[in-house]
Amino acid sequence: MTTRDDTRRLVPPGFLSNAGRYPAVAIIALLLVAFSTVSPFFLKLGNVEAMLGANSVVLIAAVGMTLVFLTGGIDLSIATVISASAVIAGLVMAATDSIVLGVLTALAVGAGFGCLNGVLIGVLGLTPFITTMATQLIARGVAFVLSQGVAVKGTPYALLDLGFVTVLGVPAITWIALLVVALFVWLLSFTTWGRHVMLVGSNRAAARYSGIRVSRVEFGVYALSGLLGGLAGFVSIANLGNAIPGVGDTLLLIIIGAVVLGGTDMNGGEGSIGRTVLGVALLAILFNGLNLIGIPFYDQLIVQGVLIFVGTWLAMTFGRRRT
Amino acid sequence: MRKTPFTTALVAAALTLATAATPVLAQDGIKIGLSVDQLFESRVGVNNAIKAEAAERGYELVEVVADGDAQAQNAQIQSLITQEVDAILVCAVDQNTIERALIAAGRADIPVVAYDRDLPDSRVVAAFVGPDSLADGREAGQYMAEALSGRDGPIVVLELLGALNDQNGIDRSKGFNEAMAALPDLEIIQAPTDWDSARALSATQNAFQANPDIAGVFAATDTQIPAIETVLTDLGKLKPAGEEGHVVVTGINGSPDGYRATVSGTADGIVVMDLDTTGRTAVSLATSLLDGEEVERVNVIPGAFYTTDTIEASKDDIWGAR
Repeated sequence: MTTRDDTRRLVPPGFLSNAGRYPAVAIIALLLVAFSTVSPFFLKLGNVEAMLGANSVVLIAAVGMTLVFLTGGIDLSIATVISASAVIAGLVMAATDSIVLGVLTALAVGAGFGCLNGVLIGVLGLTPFITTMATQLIARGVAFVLSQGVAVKGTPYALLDLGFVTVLGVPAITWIALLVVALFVWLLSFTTWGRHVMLVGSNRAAARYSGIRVSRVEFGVYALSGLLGGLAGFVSIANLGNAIPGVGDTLLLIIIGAVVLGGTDMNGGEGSIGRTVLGVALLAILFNGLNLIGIPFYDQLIVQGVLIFVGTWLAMTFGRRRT
Repeated sequence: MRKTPFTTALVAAALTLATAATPVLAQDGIKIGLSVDQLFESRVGVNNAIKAEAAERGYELVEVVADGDAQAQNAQIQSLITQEVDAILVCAVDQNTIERALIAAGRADIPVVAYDRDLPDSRVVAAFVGPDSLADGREAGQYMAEALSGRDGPIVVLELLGALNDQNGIDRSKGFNEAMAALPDLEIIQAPTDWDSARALSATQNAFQANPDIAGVFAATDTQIPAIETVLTDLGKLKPAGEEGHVVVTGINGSPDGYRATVSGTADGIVVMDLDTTGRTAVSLATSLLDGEEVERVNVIPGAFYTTDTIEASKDDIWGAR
């Protein structure tokens, strides 16, 4: 009992509950100090710019995943929807040399897969896990069949150059991701739709009784998640230079990891886009720093896994006490 | 009690980092970045040669491995650029997948040498060094054509292909087929394996079931020869060279599997890649580029053919025998 009082004096009020709400902050602070001490290159402008550019795809997709998580669902297809959108947009651009057509194609492909998930889960009531797993397979198959397994050549040079454009020191593709973040922060916090999403996730029955059309909300989040996957697919072309059929294959765990580490609850109703931004930042800093100090790839996987344990546990331990 | 778990977590994380992190040595000398697609026997062989040559020249070497992930390789090349390496040696995960990162290297005036897998469409890669896959395939084909020349047709041969999207695999097949065309009345059955031994095994089983008269098997990588050996043993077709019904087996690479099979006589002969020269040439190309010298864009290192009779005597030249 005395310890409890001591703790109150030692840490500022609200610290523990904030550690639960933002478990990523403490880890980020720790990583920043550690990496900048160990590597002289970590805080260099060029490195920060590279880090921002490299993580724009993940950030855009993680916003989509957050929306789905908030309703208590999951979108396992988002990573390979990125691949399929990139490949199809890449083929369109290779044939027409039109960036505008490329963007529209990527968005249409993403939205198409999203609406498929939305109808199956929201309207027909299938389980999100199995449904999106099936969509994941289909999207991956589409990406590899259409590209024959190799990167699509013929990206317009203007798009390659876009990957290097910076505005106020921030890469153009990161600005795209930040606009997406701003848009969805606003939608979730200040619109009726945003309140409906949170209510469906925290108490589905109550949502239904208060007249919210749950199926429509669910359809909406999966459709948007697909749409954002499509956008991320297009951005991946600007980031990597070509449309790569396997681009999304390794992203799913990073996207889910970022959302969970950020502190959004997989069971729905608890979380925010802001937390996801922190989660993405955490993993971005981690990968970049581990590369810089020369930790081998497979060792990085172990560190990544351990961190997800720590983050989830922090969120659980301190998040639970708050309520 | 309340703060204990949180503090423990912080301390644990700090300890993990402290033990994992080794400071980058700041040196005035030349620093070479080595970006590797993924690790397997022959890749490690080339990398070891690169490391040995770099060490002899007093260069610092920073190695990153992408485990077959294009995105990871892009980020890793970017981190090499950030670390201000003087030159980058790269074996790309796939053609066209890392062009943006390479352009970034080009913008930072860092010369890029591709090894083992060429990037013919790259705007940045200044030089390539790798196997002469066309010549290697031709050499294996010539040997097999000679070994089978006395037989009555039609002669059926099984070719285990590499991956269909890998230029080295495509060129080995092309060279092999060119040389085999010397035989009249020939039928070549092609089976793609994606460099995978399990697929090679089932492809060989299927091929022998459909064509029990197969007279020869060519494996694009000799790591698949044990799979061929398994099938031949099962069918009772594993007979020494010179005996009636002997199936001629050749392959390309020089791996421990290929070496053992050739010594034992299961394989008649293999083309052994010169990984040492490939690795050392990669470093010397980078050095020339740093010195502002002109270099050849494409540099190929042909392999050497060894038969059961000659292979043991040349043990020291075969990477898989060391």
